Amino acid sequence: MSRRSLKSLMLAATLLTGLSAPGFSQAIVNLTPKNATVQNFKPVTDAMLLKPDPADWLLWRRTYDGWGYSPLDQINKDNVKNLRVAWTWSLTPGATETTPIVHDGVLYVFNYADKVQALNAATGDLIWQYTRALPQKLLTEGGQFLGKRNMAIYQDKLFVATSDAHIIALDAATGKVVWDHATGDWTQGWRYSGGPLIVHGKLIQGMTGCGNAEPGGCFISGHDVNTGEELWRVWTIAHPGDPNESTWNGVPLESRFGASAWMPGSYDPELNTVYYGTGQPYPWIAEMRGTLPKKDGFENNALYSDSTLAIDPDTGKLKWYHQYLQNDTWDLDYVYERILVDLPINGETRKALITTGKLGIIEAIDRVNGQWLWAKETVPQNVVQSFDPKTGEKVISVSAIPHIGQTTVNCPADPGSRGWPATAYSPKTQLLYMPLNEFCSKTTPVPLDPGQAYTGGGRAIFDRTPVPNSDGNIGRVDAVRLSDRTQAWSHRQRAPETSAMLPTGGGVVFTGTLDRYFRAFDDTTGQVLWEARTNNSINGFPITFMANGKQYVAVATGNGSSEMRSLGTLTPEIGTPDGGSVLWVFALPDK
Amino acid sequence: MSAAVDDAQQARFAWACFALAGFIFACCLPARASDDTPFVQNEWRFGTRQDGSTLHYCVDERDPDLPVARKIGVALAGALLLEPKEHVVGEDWSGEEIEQIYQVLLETCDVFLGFKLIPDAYPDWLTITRGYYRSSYVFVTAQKGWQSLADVPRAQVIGGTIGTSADMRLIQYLEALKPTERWTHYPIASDEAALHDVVDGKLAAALVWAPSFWALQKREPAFAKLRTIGLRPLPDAQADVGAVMLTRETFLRANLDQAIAALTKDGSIAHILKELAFPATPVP
Repeated sequence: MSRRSLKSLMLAATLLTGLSAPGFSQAIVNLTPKNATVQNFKPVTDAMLLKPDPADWLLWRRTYDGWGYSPLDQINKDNVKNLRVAWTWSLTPGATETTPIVHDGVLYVFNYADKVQALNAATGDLIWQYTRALPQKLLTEGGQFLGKRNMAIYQDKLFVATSDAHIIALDAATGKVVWDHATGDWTQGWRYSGGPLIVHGKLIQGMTGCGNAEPGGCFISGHDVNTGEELWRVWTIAHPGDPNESTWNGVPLESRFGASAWMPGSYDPELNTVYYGTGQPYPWIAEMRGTLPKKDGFENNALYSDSTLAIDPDTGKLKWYHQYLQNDTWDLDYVYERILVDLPINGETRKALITTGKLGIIEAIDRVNGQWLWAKETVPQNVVQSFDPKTGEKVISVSAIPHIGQTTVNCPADPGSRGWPATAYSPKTQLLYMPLNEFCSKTTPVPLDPGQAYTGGGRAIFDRTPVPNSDGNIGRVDAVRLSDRTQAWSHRQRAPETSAMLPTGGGVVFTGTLDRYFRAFDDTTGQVLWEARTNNSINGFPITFMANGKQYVAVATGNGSSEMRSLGTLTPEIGTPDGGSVLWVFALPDK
Repeated sequence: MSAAVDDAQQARFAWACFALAGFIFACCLPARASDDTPFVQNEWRFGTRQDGSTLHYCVDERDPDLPVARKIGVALAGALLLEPKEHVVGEDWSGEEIEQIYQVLLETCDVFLGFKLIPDAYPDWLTITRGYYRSSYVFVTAQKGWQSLADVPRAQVIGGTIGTSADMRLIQYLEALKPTERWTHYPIASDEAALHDVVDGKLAAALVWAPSFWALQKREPAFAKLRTIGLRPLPDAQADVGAVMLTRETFLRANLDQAIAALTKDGSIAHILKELAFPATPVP
């Protein structure tokens, strides 16, 4: 008997037991949805992805340019104070960093441990559900890697990067598996935590978990959306034959780890280029991985870590790269969202790519050729002393470089003044909205060998502390004018910021905090216009959409994200529930 | 049996009876994780173990000292007048292992054997017993003429298993030398990979954990021709190995420490190490 059949029998037995128990005769409801198909599903076209219907949320940051902005304005500065819970949906407990997809009144959500559900976006009724049969080992281990930050939708399929390092396509109408492609061996540590990006028929996916004694680092791969077949692969660490192979200080390929591509990319259709970020090399401490001290005859900037990679989506050709942080020895990823926006610079309009790494420094490069344009500091930091005005190359403060046997003070440190919660750009205000946190850390390198087979990444102890002369506020939301790099407003609070930003055409900006508050700010003044206290930390990417003519705002809450838990060590008085992941959906009351 | 050993065994029996009573009592205490512990889904599912007369100990099947750990687990349980119950973990482990160690200690075992005593290497929620054996890192080479690292020409390439405490000390030593006086040093992903690099001639010598070399030489015929050489001019790179447990298990910790001391004193640990020809000595 197959395992699945055995499970079915057990479920039937449970149901029978439940039905015969006193008081349960009316309680068994609708375990299988009556209508397990999305009716009249409209395939998602390239045109839809290029210019999404404002009612939908089709891409991780809604549009290819990574703005995370919605033009919807039914909910606005005047009426946001009336926002109420429309419906909620309990999610599988665990790290919940999810971004729902909404298409034509159907909301698709990824649950911890690879459960995907299609819900009626207006009511929260379940339409279908897919649960991946993950290896028991992965489920037993748990951990944040069983969460995913996004999925993708295209034509009639929903695409999911799974916790056992597969990419799968589900029928978006029924949830049935259409294809299943294994990309890496999960038992060797390969895994996905971000999801795919679809660009005119190609599925693009970044790999993470490349520090578990797996040589050669991570990669970004392109796949056929109809079969999953891998079409191309870009290694995020320079391999032999690569022109930048000598940037690893002579360390052989077998000993180069990291540069995870653990967040989705952005896409410029005019330039037919996708932009992906990469994280730091492993282990975090440069002396431990052999890229310090620098050897004669080699470079030691460890390409392509902490970089933007500009890739042709059709061929996988690396067009150019820009490295933000050479030879990172602090765990200061530059892997996050790439915001594509045209900006006035020195009297001309430049096609800029904006990103902010864990240092909290906003950086602009030209997305045509990778040329550095400018940088803007936000939170207190002591790692970067100055920038080369032409190349943007950073002059690093020598005292901030961790060394074996020493403790250094770094501001910020792991998990960064910003983590995976994304910044967002509003074309309406031309402001960049940033979820930030202010803190420092006493950083001490520690060996990897407490247990004899201890092969985890890392490694250093981060003893997190407030910044010098702190007023006690850790969390901060900044609005920065990209045209002249001035700060429009800044909101500070004790609780760390733990969710992405969502600016809307209604003039409000949504975001949330560790202490369970989901807030709406005035997009031009930073005034708090509305807030709701939820069941757990706000820990996902908020989205907004329309269903049946009504605007909704959705965000996931939950515990288990390592970024959230690390920030929580700075505010030990803020308790958070262990479980309770929930998708909260808000709307204005019916008139 | 000598009188000294008799005395030691009597004393061991006396406090073991006390330890057993305490262990049974401690097992009934409610478990409560502190806030800085790793996140474990549905942690409430892991309650107290009810079989207070059993010592549940974990060993990692990937550890080179697995045969030693198994015997020491039995010996520790015996010293505490508890039934030994071995749990072998580590198969297909991947991911963030500190979380796995926490979960294993919640779910499966009271104590997890085979961890080095390294200052500041453990989070607050995890504590380590006194060491039950002491071993060392060694340089391994295929060259016959060399007696220590000092004999390895500076033009040669040496390696060390990435991120080990010994490799970190080697890095510190190399950085203290003038660049022209340094060996070229590469971090290598594992002890096994480092030994293969020595066999293949990519490395002149590799700094590995002696128990790993002991275990890998038994498994891999190609390593038979390898031999150890002294660390000079480096100082000894010894490390004591003990067992980890949850910090809140203070009573168990105290009694395990006493049990290890007693097993050391009566020669039991020395006997286990000698029986297996394991490259280690009891911790004085």
